[in-house]
Amino acid sequence: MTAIATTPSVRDAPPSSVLATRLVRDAVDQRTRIEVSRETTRRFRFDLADGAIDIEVDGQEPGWLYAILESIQRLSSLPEDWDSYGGRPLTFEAAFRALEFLAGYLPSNSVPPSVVPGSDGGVQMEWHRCAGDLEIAFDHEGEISASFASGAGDTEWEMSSQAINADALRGAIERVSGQL
Amino acid sequence: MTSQVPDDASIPDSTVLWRRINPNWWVRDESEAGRRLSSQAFHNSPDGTGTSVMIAHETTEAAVLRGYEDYGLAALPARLPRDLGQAVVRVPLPDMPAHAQIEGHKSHSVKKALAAGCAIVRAPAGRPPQNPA
Repeated sequence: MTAIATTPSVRDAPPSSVLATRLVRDAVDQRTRIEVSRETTRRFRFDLADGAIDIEVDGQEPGWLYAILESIQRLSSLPEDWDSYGGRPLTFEAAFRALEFLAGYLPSNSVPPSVVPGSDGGVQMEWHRCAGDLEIAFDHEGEISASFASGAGDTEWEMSSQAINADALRGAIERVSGQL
Repeated sequence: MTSQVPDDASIPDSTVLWRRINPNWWVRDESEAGRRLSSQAFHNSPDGTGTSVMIAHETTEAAVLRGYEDYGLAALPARLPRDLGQAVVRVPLPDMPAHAQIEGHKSHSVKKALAAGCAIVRAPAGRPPQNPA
């Protein structure tokens, strides 16, 4: 089985900052499941400026994993006013929700998104490819919003955190994240 | 959604507004010239005010980028945010009299339209220009 589990471990944070505790994504097919199921589970601690996330990889690591972790870690070290407009550093909540989301939605062999900081302390993941443009943002509180426009012009939508359509979101990710 | 802040009619629609571009907002784009401006470049300010811009004809590129040499510079006409329900208002600062703000709630689609409607005057340092001036 290929899976990632993310567990937040927040330092000096109120209880409300401790978010979802576990998320596991199943393997794409049975063959992969059999081949890699003997591998040991690897766990490591992913340190951010204001907390840490325990990451657990069961089976083959997704090809995008380390690129994303490197990007998020880089953004978590941005200083106050990093954008010259009073921008705030990436919050733990935004980083955790983004990683949790990718663990649940992004296939292992996907092209990783660009990871872009928001002035509010949030983070946005975006793909701009021939298949379409997809942006998935997590604000400083970890609230998700997203927008998609297909390259063919047949689909366009925008979702707020109150109206997330998981199927549409997953479909858009499959269209733009391609295969490595 | 229309801005709650009154628009400043003394700023003509044709006025060019400049926005400094942090290198983090210059992202990969497979379908264009390799890079594009992220919609995150048009987030409102964390203090609750709008998106800071400069009135181009009242300042210089060098003045806007002084101290931010690795930044890029994007240009958009005042008409663009207005067409998206935003207001353009002068907010002169002591050291930046040409300062203005684009006020109004910015959904994904508004931020995307603002980013897409920009001309890149200067790409962030070390990045290939999307739209050379």
